[in-house]
Amino acid sequence: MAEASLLTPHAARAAPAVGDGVLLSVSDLRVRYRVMGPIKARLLGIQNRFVDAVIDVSFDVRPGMTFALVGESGSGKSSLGRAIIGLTPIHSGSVVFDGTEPLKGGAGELQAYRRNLAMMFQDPVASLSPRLSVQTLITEPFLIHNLPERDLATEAKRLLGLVGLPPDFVSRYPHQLSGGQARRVGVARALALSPKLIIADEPTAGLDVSVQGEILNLLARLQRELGLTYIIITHNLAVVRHVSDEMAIMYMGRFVERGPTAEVFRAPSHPYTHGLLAAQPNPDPDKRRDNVELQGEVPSLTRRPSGCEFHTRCPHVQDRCRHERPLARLLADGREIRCHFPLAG
Amino acid sequence: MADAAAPLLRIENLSIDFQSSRGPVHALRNVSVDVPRGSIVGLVGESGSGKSTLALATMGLMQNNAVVKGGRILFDDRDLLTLNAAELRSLRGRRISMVFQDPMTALNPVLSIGRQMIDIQYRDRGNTVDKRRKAADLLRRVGIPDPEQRLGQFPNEFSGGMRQRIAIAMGLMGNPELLIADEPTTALDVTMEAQIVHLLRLLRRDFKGSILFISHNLGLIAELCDYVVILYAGEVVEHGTVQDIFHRPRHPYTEALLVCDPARIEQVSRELPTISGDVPNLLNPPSGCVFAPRCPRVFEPCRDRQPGDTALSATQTARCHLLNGGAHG
Amino acid sequence: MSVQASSVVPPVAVAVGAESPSTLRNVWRRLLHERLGLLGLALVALLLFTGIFADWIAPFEPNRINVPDRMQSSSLTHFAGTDQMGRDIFSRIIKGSQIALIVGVSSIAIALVLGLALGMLAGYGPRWLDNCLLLLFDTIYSFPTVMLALTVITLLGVSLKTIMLVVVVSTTPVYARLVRTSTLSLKNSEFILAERSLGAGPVRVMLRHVLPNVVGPLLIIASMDIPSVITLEAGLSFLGLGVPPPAASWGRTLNEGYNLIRDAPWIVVAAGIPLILTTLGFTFLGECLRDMLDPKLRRII
Repeated sequence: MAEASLLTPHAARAAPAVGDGVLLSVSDLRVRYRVMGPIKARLLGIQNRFVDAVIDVSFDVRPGMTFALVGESGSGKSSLGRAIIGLTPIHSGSVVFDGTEPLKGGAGELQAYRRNLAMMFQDPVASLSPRLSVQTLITEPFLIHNLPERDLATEAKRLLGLVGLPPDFVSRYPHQLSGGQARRVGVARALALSPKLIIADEPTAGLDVSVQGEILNLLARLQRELGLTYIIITHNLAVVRHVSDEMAIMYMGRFVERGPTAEVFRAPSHPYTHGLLAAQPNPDPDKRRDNVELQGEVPSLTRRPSGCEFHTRCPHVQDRCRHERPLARLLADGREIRCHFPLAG
Repeated sequence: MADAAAPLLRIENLSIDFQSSRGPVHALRNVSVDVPRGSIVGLVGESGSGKSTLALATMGLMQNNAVVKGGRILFDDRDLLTLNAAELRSLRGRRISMVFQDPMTALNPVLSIGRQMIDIQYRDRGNTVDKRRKAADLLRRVGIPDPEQRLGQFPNEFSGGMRQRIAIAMGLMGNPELLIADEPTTALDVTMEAQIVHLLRLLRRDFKGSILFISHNLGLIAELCDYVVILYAGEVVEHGTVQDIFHRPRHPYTEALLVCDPARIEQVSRELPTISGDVPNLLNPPSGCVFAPRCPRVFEPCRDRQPGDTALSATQTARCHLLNGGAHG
Repeated sequence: MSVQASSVVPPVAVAVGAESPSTLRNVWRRLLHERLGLLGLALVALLLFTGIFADWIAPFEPNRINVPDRMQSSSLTHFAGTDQMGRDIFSRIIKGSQIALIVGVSSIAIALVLGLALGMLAGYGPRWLDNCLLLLFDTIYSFPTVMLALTVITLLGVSLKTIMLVVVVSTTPVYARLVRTSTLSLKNSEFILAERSLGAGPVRVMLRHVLPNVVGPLLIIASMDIPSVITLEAGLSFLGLGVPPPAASWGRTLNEGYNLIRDAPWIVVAAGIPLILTTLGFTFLGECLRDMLDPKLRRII
């Protein structure tokens, strides 16, 4: 019915070719936060003064790929993103990027790492320093990394052009930008040093459905043209289905399922994945659901359930689940899953 | 709307401006919405549509710089805009209730839940014990386990999803005829969202009132609502039953909205459809059709003349030049 | 927690021009439109002018004793009359503005810089540093200002430098605490995280991103503190503990005038007026700046 003259042409594009080799390899990563100091804990008699936001996470990202980290609040996906870029210290495990372990090296290695890896944050306007102009914001990476020979004005205009913003935006301030424009500025900043990998934290948060495609299409185009690799952190499954090659679902800090996006959507193996997919409202009034699959809430990270941590909400819970924590194992189609009784495909 | 009885809420040609330092912002222009008795009406709008303004206007909770330029809000045949503060207060909480978007700030952090739920029954006769029991009952109905215990707890001991349930319980305390829910699940996880929507469906069977459900999430609207009103940049561009809107959309904006929803796109694609352009600046809305600058099917009359409403069926109406032979300006 | 709705920036708000960080240019422009602010600015400018050019403006040598002309009420030659030693009051008042400027403006300026530095270090730096600095601030803060002044004066004797030291020591912790609080709340903002993710080191983050965002309220408080400091000096001088004679500070003139109030009431008036005008000027200016920067601060500052 709808003509497409002003609507962006809706042509189904194949996913870009993903290269061989591994760009980023995360192994057994654990991120731990301190909840209170040792003295206070002793005085209050509290055993657990730490909270594990990310536990035993392992995955590989190949060049040119889009990897999605999916989860609800408390899943640890944002913490994982921040740990990978070095904003949050890692408790144990490793992050290997392009053959080296930048987070375990010195300051110089970390700086070099930050040239290859960029992050886009959730709140587009709040992630821009409020008193700096767009030009200053997007060219700051050059100053931080001591590349004074670049002409900042030219670079700023080039970057704005890459993200589809007019060059006169260089003199604007963050409060003068709409959400969509601020997001584009965030992308421009992330692209400044020509990184290899971009971590995008909730790239569509706060955007209307009718315009969220703009930012996603931009990211897809940049991926094709510049050979970028993405890790997308989101809770929006509808978007994940379209834009990612591989995905991992997180629950209370662990990966419960990881595998090719198409397969996960076609036949989710983990009951949480299934429940999550079932909870997505279907924009068709004829397909109303009579019941809700996943009841209850995510337990507090300070009081983790025994055994499989999902057992408190799992519709297929059995006795073994309450006592024995499932280990990650590989299924026939290459998926990794943490469950004693995966759903049949 | 096809309903023999008069609607519970009838918003008629409502126009509201906001005074700003740069002049009046025309937030709502000639908006008409009917909420029949016992129905759930979904108000769909993206940013800048004015949906929250509409909700707040109905409750009489608008900001100081809001000016009603015209129209009426008839609740049970009384124009809410003509009521004074005392009269409005007597309606709020008893006949019309509202649930807000942010559960984290919806409750007073320094009073216990029980205290708050008993306090808002201040107009009812009866002793505290009865009121407490009523509060516990409602908490149970909204799915909070161990309600008697939890009455003594404070809001910070509850999660976002729980707080929203409590807010719904408080909204239903007075057995209102109309519950306005302004994006009640936007700040919640999707599994909690599904539970809350399911809860609203169950509750409506019991409490027999109407719900005005405001959201930008088409999936939720499809799940929950009987009727749907599509709001764009301060105007109602289309309304009808939920079947009409989702299966037979006629306004280009409605169609585009449905097309752009990634959940509705069957084939996996890296290139997603969007509506290009931005919502118009409401300091200076377009002179013709409000959607003309972004409409994929814009043609000659659209930019100059405002389209009138065309009744497409007994239940469905849309405002578009494509649909009627002649439009009135 | 999904943050969809809270991040939505309605285009309407942007179109109307969201009130937010004012750049120096538009602060100046708006200031010129506010009458009280303009008046305040004029008074402050007057103080600055007289203070800087005091030596040239004063019609007479402020300390010149001229006994034959003593105890004259205001006249054309002596606008504010003379005191018991025949010194021209008007010239003394003008000279007094210089002292007020040095004591008031300079010491507050030093406290401002120190407070910014220490506050940012406390807020942004490691926890142990924060704890140490807090201890330091609170210790100094708990001393009543006048007592601190008296103690220092007793130990170091009375002089301009002593008073400046007292002001700096007693005001810095207040400013530092304010800056620390702002810094702490900014520390976890997304834009700070974004800068860190780009590789910005702590110094760059503090100077480029924290400082511009915390300095605003501080400037307002500082501008309103200047008259307090000038009054403090006046008070100390009144007690005989201020800048030593024959220095012509307003406080000292007030002190001397107080003793002669029956015979030469004009002295007290002449010394009181500039004090009042300066206080008013800085207060108007400060309030105007505050309202322009963020009207919400009205309750806090």
